[in-house]
Amino acid sequence: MPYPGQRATGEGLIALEQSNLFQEFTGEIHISEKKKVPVLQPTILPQPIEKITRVLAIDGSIISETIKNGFPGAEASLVQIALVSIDLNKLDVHSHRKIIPPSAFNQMDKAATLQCVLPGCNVAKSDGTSPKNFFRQSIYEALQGRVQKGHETLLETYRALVSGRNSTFRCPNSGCNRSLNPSTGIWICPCSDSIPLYETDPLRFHERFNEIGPNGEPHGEVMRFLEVILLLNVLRYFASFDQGLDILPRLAFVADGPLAAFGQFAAVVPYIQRELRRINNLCVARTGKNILLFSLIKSGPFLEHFEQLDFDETKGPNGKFAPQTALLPEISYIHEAIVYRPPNAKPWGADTYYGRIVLYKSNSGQRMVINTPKVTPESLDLSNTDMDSYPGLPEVAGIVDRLSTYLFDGGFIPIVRAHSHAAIPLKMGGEIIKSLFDK
Amino acid sequence: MRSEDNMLGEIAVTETKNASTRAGEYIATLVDRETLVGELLSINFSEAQVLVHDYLRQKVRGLPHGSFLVATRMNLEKSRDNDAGDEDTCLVLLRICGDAPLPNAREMEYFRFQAGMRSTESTETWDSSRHLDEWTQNNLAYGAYWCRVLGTFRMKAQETDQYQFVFGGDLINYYTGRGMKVFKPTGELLTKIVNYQRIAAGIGARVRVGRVRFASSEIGVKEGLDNVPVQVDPRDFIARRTFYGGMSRGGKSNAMKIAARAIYLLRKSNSEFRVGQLIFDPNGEYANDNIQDGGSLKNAYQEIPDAEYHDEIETYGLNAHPNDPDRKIVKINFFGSRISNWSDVDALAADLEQLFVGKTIINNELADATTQYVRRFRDTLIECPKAFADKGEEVRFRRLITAYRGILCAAGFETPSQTVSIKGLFGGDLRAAMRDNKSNDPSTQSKIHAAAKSFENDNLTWSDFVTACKALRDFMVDKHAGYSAFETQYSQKKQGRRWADDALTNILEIYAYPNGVAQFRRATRQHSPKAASDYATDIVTALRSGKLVIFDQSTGDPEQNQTAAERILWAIFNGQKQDFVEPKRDDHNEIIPPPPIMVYLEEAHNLLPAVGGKNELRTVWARTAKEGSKYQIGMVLATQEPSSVMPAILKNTDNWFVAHLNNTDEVRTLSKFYDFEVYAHQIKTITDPGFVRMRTLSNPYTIPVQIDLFKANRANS
Repeated sequence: MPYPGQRATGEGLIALEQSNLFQEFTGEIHISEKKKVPVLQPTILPQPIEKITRVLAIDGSIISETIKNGFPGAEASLVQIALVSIDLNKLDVHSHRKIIPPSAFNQMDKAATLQCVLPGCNVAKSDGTSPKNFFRQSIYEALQGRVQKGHETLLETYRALVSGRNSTFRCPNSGCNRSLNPSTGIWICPCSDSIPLYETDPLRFHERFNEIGPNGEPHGEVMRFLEVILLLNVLRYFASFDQGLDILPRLAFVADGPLAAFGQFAAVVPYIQRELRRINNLCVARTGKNILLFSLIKSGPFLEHFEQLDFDETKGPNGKFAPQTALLPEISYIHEAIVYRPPNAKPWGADTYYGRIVLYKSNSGQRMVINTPKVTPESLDLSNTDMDSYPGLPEVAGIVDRLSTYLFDGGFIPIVRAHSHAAIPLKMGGEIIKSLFDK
Repeated sequence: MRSEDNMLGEIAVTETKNASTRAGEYIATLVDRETLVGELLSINFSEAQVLVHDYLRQKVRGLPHGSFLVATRMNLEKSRDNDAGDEDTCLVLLRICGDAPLPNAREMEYFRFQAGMRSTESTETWDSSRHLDEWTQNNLAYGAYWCRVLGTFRMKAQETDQYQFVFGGDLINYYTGRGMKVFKPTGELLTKIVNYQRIAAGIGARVRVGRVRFASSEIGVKEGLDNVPVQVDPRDFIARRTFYGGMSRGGKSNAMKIAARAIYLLRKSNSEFRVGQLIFDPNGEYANDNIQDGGSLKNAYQEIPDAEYHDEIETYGLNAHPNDPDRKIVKINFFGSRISNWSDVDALAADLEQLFVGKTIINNELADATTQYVRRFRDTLIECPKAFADKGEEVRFRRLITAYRGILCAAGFETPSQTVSIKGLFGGDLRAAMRDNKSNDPSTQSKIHAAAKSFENDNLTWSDFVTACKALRDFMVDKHAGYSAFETQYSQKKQGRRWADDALTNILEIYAYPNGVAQFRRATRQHSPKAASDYATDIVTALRSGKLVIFDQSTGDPEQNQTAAERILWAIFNGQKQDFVEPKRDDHNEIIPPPPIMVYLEEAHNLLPAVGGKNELRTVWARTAKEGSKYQIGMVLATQEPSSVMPAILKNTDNWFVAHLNNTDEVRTLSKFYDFEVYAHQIKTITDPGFVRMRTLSNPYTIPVQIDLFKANRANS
């Protein structure tokens, strides 16, 4: 470990380059053979059929703060999830010759937010509950909220989501190690410590809990889990009554980041996919149309690859593809050109993604990586790039065109607005966390 | 009856509160919520920053530089919730002075630049939806103005428990942690702002001069919103200095005419309020009907019921005008009037007044004389004695005046008659001595002899009289001619008095050389044998009686016009000064101040002394401009060269009308005064005639005004 302020001077680089380890490692690295990679042809998207009137976007925000409770490294995180509804009609009423009033932007969205505090290491309850158990309890309690009066809580959504799941989980008590079946609500482990067990324990977030260091990773996973549960909660609301189903195709649901689950809760991906398909089937049955759900990925290898592709020998960067061009990479292309997988390996994203990748250049020239959900049978076949594999893609492209903004690189207003509502100012958020634990 | 301990007190408190609430409601209702332009970002005692959005700028039809804004925290939704006694029940008056950078300025500049690059080859502007999304556009639409804090309007209880809309030129307080909504004042509020004056005007005292105008490129004037009349209190100009600055054809004369008419018409509402006004009219546009004005200012009397021209207006000029039969000629009769009675000194003084004035004018012409004989003539004081001790003294005075008149004739002044009466002026003893003169020069001897012959007549032609006087002077100075002997004999007879006193001797010295009388020949241009009185005195009299006097300087010799103007102004100045230092008293023994007089001066830079020049304050123009106020002389100066006006005069100027000036130096001169610096760019670039920045004595701030086009009445046929 360097001393504070000590910098690497590069003195050791020559020795490193000349070492056997370096030489051998270099020889083993697989280089992408560009000539073998098939050229990804642009797809001409059909015109959107459905007029989208409203966009519902979900985004979460998290900040962590050190707690002064006498224990070193004590910390907690404040999580806030925002559901933002954007009424596109508010923009359309203004004549093109007139300047749109700022109130149209200020009033076009409505937001609902959910908050929870997640304890980290060395944050115990006064009744003796350990930090890890306190963390488990906090996850369970975070799901108690609801965004719509009369509609189910997030816990009920979660319960519906994993219903029928029969895999067991280990008792969180380190001295127990019992294999337990999932249950609902709170119950007591029959072990000697009799610790309460929570319905959310099978998600096993607590297994990533670090008792002597930062817990940004498990806290972040909880936040992403809450985002997904909230999305499903909202979708289930509209799917719960006929009128809701009628308007569902006119609503676009947007998430920030990939339609995927990583880490501890990746195990629920099949259930998410199942639930989305169920809702979509209801929608199709009622209206003949798919639900419109997508997400935007703001960074990562797909975006990087898209940037590399969009290079023209004469026009330079951004010069190859015309605006409103879509590229639909099938799984073998992804393996060969974007995320390397050896032949016969499990397809990339099979266990984690419930969405398909679309590379789209918007009418403003911004490159976007879009995920559309695997809710149709065609979408499950990752080598199939027909339009049916990407339900609602023309509408999605239309919305992306309509709501992209130059304000941020790859900026998309619903996400921007959702983030604005969810974002917790660092200092203020820290003060809030401190004040919670001061009490 | 049930007893209530404090019933009446509560009534008083409640009613007072009601009045305060009504006043608060009133000031709140002045603000039109539809004219919201943005949010106050920051404020201190002198400056403020206002956040605005393009949408609101467009909605209120522009927010031009120099225009007003009001910031308030009043509850406009429920105007009744505002109590005049609350600190927040006020309007902070701001003036837009420029833009202010927002914290995201650099970022926004980048977006604008990027959009510009995207649209470079397009026919659409960068803000079109093809090149810019609505959200970025919305962010770019925010801007900020840097404003000057002009002060605060609030409702204040007066002694009578009535609340008045009053202005204070500062802030009592400001909060860095509280916002204020900012509005563009229109309609009634704008009217109140631009017509606010520190001291309430009397009923009917204020007069419209134009409408408020903030920009040359205004979109159009909306009745009730932007078309707000601007009035002035003409009393602001009285006994004050007023400055009109602007290029030729910039509307200076137009504005002066409007102000002059406004002051003139004060008598309409109060017949006692008659302010005498003198306009030096270099182009004849005030005195004569003209196409531009559709008449002339002198016809303003027609707006006063039952007013007669002769009681209200006088016009003067160097020459007669075919359309102005009543015009008085600005010349004097250097000979004085015909003497009605030489024995009556009072009548004599009146009859000779013009002669005395003429002598003063001649003295001025000879001011730089160096030769002894001319100086003796110049320095001879000719004045009317208070009384004649005897008949001989009367004759001596008559002889002196007649001899002086002969000198005028010799100098080329047109005589008022064919002949001159010399009866009894040159007695037999003198004539005998002249006849018997022993001059060594035969020619001289002969001339003196001939003169003696001439003096025998009762009347002589003026030329014969001049010839005779010249010979008399020769007789008096020729040592051999015999004048000394005559003088000795005369003195013995007359108890030591000499025949010729110093005055006569000295004035006759002008004949010493043929060139003598030629040295003041220029003064003949100011002479008219028909002039019945001194025009300067007449003008002072007319002004003191409240008349509008116009001196048409458009014809005649410029130098002569100048001289006449100076004479008039001196007469005014001295007359007013006299009243100031030796004031009259009324029946209650109260001092009567000098009557107010206004003097209008076009192209003042030609008359006022140059900055840094010698004797800056010796001219009557400079003295009147500088000292006139205390003598109740209001001076109105119009010039296109403010920098050429003495700073001492500008510093004491109370009323300002500033139109277009094309020169940075001139603009800079004005920028030193009040807040004209804010308008410096506009003054230099906007050339619209009549578009002025106005600040009068009672205005607490400068107001941009489009001065109405002066339309005069036509002369009655």
